[in-house]
Amino acid sequence: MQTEGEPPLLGDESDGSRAVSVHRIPLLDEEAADIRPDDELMLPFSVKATCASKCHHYETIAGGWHFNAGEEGVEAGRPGHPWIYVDAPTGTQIPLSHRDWEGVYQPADLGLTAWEFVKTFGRHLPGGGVAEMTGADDPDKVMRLMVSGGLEANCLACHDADAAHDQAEYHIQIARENFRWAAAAASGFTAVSGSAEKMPDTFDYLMPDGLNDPKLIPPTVEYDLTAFDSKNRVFFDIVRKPPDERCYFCHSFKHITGDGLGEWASEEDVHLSAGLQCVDCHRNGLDHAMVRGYKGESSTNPLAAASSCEGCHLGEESDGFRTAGRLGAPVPTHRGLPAVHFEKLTCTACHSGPRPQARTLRVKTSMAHGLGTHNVNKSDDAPPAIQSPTFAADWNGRIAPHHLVWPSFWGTMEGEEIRPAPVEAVRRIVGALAKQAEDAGEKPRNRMPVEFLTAALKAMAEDEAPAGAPVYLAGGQIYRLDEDGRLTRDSHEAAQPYRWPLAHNVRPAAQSLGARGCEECHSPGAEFFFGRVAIDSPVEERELTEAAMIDLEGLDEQQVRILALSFWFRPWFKVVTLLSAGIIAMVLLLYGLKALAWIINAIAHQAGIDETE
Amino acid sequence: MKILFYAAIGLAFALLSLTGYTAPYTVTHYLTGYALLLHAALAPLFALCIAAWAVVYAPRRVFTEEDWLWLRNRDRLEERTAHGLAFGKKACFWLILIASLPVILSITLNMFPIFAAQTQPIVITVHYAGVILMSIGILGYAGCSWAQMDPDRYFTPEEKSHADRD
Repeated sequence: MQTEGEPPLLGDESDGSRAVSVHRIPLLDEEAADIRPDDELMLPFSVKATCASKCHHYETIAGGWHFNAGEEGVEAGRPGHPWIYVDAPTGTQIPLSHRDWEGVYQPADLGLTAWEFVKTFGRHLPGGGVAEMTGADDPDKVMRLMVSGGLEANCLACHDADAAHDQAEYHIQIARENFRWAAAAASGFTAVSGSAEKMPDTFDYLMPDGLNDPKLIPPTVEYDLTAFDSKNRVFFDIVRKPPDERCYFCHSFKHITGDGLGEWASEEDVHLSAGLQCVDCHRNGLDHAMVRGYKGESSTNPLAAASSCEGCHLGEESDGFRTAGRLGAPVPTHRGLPAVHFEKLTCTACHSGPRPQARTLRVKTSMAHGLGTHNVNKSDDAPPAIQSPTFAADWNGRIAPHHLVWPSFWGTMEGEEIRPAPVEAVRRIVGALAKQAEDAGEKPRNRMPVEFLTAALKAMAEDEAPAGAPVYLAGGQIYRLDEDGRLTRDSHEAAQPYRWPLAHNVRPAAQSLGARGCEECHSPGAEFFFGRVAIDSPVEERELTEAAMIDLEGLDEQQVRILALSFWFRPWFKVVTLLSAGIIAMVLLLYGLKALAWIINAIAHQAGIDETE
Repeated sequence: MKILFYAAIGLAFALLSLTGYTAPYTVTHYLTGYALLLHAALAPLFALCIAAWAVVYAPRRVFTEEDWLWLRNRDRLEERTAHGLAFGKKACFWLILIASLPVILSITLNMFPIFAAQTQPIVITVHYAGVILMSIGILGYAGCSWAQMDPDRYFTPEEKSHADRD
């Protein structure tokens, strides 16, 4: 982190010019040595060294939101999209995060080291922070870390506007454990081949020729030599404001509507349609403390509050920034909408995501389903099963649309405390048992008959080191064996779904919820309150079960139903009260005029004017 | 019939007051839930009763020259007190009617897309202010009526004869 008094680097502060800063720069390797086209051994350029050696303060940038999940003392803020560890054969689907969000587990809880975490989720990690693995947490992986390298904060993932930049290639390199080569491979002027995964623990990337097996291809990088100019510099099409497509690599989502139409038929977020970019609202300074954009956001970014919906559209003040109408935001009037809606609902409840459904839709996201990567599973029911839009109370108690995932995992229970079992143990015990049962035709693929569940729990109990009674959690239920070895099922807090608010795509006002009348929500069949949330559970007996949306909203169903019924009488309410007010007004007018006549007569009388004159 | 009518008004007023006045002291600090449903259900009934009451009783609650003379008569205290009840009822009657208009319209018009979200708190304040005036009127009217029903308790014989006459 840039300390006080430390002079800013070349690119750390703007001179005020709004022109593009052209980045024609020398490439540096991990050791900050120049890379030249005539080098005998071509090394992958290091984004960290190339960008940070003279121009940008890396530590300051790497403390930003995209990189700081694993840092201590970083406020977690509103729950966000977790990483979801999925292992379909063992029925595992568990939300993970290094952030302290309620309902997620730390990767370490599953026995995942930082290295394994990067291997699993690095495809959509921007690098930096835990991905750099500066403090390796597993001695077994230290050697592999020497081979693969760490994952530096990849500036190019966001700021490279070159059309040839390919984050999908980044994913391929992560899968090959070529962490050190990944950023270079994604840039438009290199080709990386070979695989660190196949390399022995003794492999040294600086001396790749010492391999005994000729079939092994070490990770190597080839540069497009025409990219170098006569001074050995390379042009990077760097932009201050990352293009939306860069954001989309990690932040895309697709609702499975079943309408048979493709992406072409879906609508764009109204802000993008209006010409804004993602980063117009989700801004950051050098410290990359990016605005997440929700009401009540606590951030070092002075524009945080001003960049929420309320900030731009209603003019919530933030550290002196007066912001109403910012970026051309229309100030909504919400005519006729009772103010209680603003206390009980977020803006997104009416304006964001798909409209409420009778049954929640499945949604696929980049982070959860690897969208945008090569050979991605394109089927609609690819795990994990994320349900959306789920209208539920958010962390402030206001109803907001959410994505929701039902955790299902193996673990142990001590008292009321549930601990997930290490993934290695689950694969070893349950995975092996599942394969055996599937081969014997006793278990359908990725489904769990009760008999299998019982057998798996028994196998886990017989394992050498279970700390507590083995349990399986799925679909809001906890499964365990009683003293007689029979399977029991109960509801359990730890099995409840993890949910995180969705904010996009924002629909225009005319398409907001309620634009067609109060009955959109206040009617006995309104999906907003009475929609059903699909429960995803691999346990066969719990297939196709559902939860009530209203339970997640924390509302009294009876009361909401009565309120909905009252809207049938609402027109009569208006007629009766307006009629009553009309009658009263007529009476007042009539007798008011009479009184006026009397007063005028009295004045005339006093003035001595005869009525007959 | 008259008793039933007054009982309906009284009960509606009591429940509307109970739900309305206690709302700021509830957990949510505003009218919501079953209290809101009850309030909204009784409000049209109450409004209709007030309208009917206005039509039926307005002719009897018209201020007369006698009221004017009574107001100016500062000498005979016993007459002032007795006639004052009748005058008080009239004043309260018209106060209730005048206050009822903002009370009813502030809510009913709020159900139409007329007032912006920023204006609605002002409209609700108008409702509150109207309700306070109306409550004063209703309590005043009820008090005067109560006193007239039991004149022995409140008046000297001289005053009572005036009260009877009024």
